[in-house]
Amino acid sequence: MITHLKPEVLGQLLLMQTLIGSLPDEEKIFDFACKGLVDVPGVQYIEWQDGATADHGETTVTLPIKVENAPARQLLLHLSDRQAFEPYLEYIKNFSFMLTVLLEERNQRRINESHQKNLERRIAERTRDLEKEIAERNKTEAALLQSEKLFRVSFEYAAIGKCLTAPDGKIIMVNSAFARMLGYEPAALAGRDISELTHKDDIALNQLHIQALLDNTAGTVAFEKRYVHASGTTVWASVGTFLFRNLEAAPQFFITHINDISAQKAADKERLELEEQLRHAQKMEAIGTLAGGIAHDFNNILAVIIGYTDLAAEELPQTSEARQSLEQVQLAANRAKELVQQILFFSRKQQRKLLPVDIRGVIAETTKLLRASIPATIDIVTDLGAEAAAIMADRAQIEQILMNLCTNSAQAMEETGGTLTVEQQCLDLDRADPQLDSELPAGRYAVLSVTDTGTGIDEDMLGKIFDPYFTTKEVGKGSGMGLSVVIGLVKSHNGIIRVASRKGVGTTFTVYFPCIAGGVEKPISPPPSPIEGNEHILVVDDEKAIVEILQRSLQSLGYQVTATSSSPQALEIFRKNPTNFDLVVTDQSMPRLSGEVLCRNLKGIRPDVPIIMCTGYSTRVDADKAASLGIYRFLMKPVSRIELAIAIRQSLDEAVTEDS
Amino acid sequence: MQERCSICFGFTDQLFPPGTHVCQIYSTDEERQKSVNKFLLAGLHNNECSSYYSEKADIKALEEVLASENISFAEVVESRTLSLSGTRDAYFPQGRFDPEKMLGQLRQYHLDAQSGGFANARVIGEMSPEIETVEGGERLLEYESKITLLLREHPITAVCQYAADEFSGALIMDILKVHPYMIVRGAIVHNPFFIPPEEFLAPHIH
Repeated sequence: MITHLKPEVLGQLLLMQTLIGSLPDEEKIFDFACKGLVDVPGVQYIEWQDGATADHGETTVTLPIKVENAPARQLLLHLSDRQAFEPYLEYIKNFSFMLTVLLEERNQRRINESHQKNLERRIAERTRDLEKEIAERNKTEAALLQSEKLFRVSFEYAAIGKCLTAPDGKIIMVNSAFARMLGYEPAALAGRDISELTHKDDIALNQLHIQALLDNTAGTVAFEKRYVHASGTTVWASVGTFLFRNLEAAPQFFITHINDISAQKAADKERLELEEQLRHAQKMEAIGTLAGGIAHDFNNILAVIIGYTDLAAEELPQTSEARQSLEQVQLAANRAKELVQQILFFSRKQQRKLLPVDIRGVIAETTKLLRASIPATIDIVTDLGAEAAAIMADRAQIEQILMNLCTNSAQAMEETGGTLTVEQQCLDLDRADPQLDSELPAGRYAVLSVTDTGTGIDEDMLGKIFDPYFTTKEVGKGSGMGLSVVIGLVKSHNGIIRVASRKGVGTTFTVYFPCIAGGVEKPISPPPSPIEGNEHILVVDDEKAIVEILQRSLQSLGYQVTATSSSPQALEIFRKNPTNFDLVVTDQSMPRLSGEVLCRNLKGIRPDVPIIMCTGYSTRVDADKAASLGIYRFLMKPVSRIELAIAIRQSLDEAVTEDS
Repeated sequence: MQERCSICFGFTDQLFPPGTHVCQIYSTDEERQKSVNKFLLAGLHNNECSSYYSEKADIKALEEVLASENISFAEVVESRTLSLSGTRDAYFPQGRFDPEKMLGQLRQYHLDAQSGGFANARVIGEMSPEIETVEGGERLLEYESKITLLLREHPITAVCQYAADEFSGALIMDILKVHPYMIVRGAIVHNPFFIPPEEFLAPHIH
C-alpha cells in the first residue's frame, strides 16, 4: 500500500532539525522535539528518558540517543496508529540520528571545552608556577647577588684577616687586613702557596689541620699558628678554617679567618713571666720565712756557744792550749754567725743599708769564704787595685754579687777545672772612652771583674743569661736565678754589668760601680772605755742557757744581775721595785709576753729605764722600731761578751747623761 | 489576502509583503542585534515608521550602523521615525500583560504611520522571559496569534525575537505554532508548525 507522506510534517521535521541546534541545553532540545514530533501522524504522545530501557511494546517506538557510544537518553514515541506512523519512521530515525549527532557534537564540544579549560587551567597553573619559579629564581639570584656582595664587603672590609685558598694550597684571594698583617699588598699574595707565608715550624701543623678538613674528619678547624711577615718577623695568629665543598661534595676552597694575636702572645709571655716571678717571690718569701725561723733558733744556739766559749776562755790563761782551742771555736761560731747573715740576705730579710764601702775589703773577705765552697780543681786568683775603691754599697749585697758571679764561673769549670780570677781596679772613663755608652756615662768607676777559663757561652745565649730562670745547667744544678739576682743588685747600686765570652776560652763578667768622692772614712775606734760596772741589771730571755750566760758574764763584769726566763715574771719583778734596776736586757721573741710588749710595759712603769734588746731574728722589730720604743741598743744575736758589755756600759752612761 | 508592495527585511534579499509576522529564535546577542540593525535600517531606507522593543538594545551599535548609512540616529528618533522602548515598558507596564491593549496600540501605531506619511510600519521586539511569570503572561500565544490576524488589516511588518536559552523547548515549539514565518539560518521560511489563528484561536474566540 502506498502511503502519502504529508509534506508539512516533513517540513516540521526538517525545521526541527534546523532549530534544535539553536537550543542551548539537552532538556530544552528534548522538550522541543517531544512537542514538535507529536504532530507526526499516528503519534499519540512522546516522552524522553535518561539511559536505555527495555522494550516498551509494539505501540511504542524507542529511539535511543547515544553519546560516546552509550545510550544516554531515549525518545519514546507512543503510537495511536502504527500504520499511519510507519511511513515517517525513517525520517524520525533520521531526526533522532541528527539529535545524536548534535548531542555528540555538544558532548565533544563540552569535552573539548573541558579539555581546553583543563589545558588552559594547567597552562595558567604552569604559567603561575613558572612565574613563581622565575620570581623565586630572580629572588634567589638577587639574594645570591646580595649575598655575594655582602660576602665581598664583609670579606674585604673585615677587621680580621680573611684568606681564600684552593685545595692545593694556592691563595685565591686575601683581604686587606690579612695582607696588611703580613706586610704585603693583597694582589701580591694571590697565587702564592700558603706554606710560603707559614712559619717553617708550623707548616706540618697547618697541613695536619687542612688534611683533617679534606678527609672530612673535621667540619672546621681552629688553631694557632705563626706566619712570616714580609720583614721576616713572626706573626702569631689564631686561625679558623672551613672547607667549602660543591654540591658533589668536592672541595672547592678553604676560607680562613685570621686574628693577629701577636700582642696577646707577647702579653701572655709577659704574664707567664710575671706569674713565674710571682711564684719565685712567693718561693723566696717562703724561704725567707723559713730562713728567719732558722736564723732565730740558730742565733740562739750560737749565742749559747759563743757565750759559754767566751766565759770559758776568760777563765783560761792566754797561753793555754785550751784557750787557743776555744778561740778556734769562737772563730767557727763567728763564721756561722756570718753564714746566718748570708741566709737572711739571700731571702732578702736582711735590711739594705748603703754606706761608703771600699769594695776591696769586701772582695778579699768574700773570696776567702768562697774558697771553701769551690772545688779544689779551680784556682782562685785575686788581683785588687792599689787605690781605694769607695762606693755607696750594702756590704752584704756586694758580697752576694761576688759570690754569685764566682759560683757561676766555678760551675763553668766544674768538670775541667781552671782558674777563677777576681780583679778589681778603679777606672776614670772620659767621654772619649770606647767603653762608654748610654748605660755607662763618663765618670770614675770601681770595676770588679770575674773571669773563668770554662766552656764559654754561645753568642746567641749571651742576651738571655740575665733572664730569670735562664740556665744551661742540668736540672738541680742551678736555679737560673744567680745572674738575675746579680743584675738586680748591680742596678740597685747604680752600676752596670757586661759579659764577654768566647766559646772554649772562657767568660768575663765586668761590673762597674760608680765611685764616690772622698773615699771611705776609716771608722774611728772609740777610746777604750771601761766595760765593768756595779749597777743592777734585770736580764730576761726565754732560753735558760742564755739567761745563765748573760748572768754569769755580767756578774763577771761586776754587775748585780736579776735574771729570769719568764717575761711576765720579769715585768712583775720590775713593777714591784722599778727604781731598783738601772738597766734591762731583754730578748724579743719570747712566749706569752714578747720583748716589744715587755718594753712598752716597762716604759709605762718607768719611762727612763734604759733597755737593750737582743734578738736572734724578728719580723716585728728592727733597729728603727726599737729606737721608736725608746730602746737604747738593738743587738743581733749571737752577741759576744765584749759587744754586750760595751752596749750596757754605753747605755748606762747615756742614761746618766740624760738624767743630768 | 490583498497583494501589496513588497518590503525588505534587511537581513535577507527576500521580499515579503508588509504585515508579515516572523519569529526569530536566536542563540546569541550578536545574532539578535545583527537582525535588529539590518531590519531597522531597511525600514528607515524605505521610509517606514519603525519601532524597537528591547531590554538589551545596543544603541551605540545601532547608531554606528545608521551613521554608516548617513542616517542620524538623533534625527530619526526626534522625528519619531524610529521609536525605542524597553520590552517591559511596552509589553507589561505596571507588571501586567494586556494583549488587547497591546493590539490596540499596534493598530493605532499603524494608523499613525499611515497618517504620518510613512510608506509602511515595522516593529521588531524581543520578548522577555518575565512574560512567563507576569500577570497575563499566559496569553502570550493568544496574543501572538491575534497579531497575525491584526496584521491582515494593519500590515505592520513584525519580527518577534525569542532567546533560545531563555525559554523552555516546549514554549519555543508553541511559539513557532503562532508565527507563520520564521528565520532559519538568516533566511525567512514558511513555518510548517504554524497553526492559522482561526484554528489556534478557536478555543479563545468567544
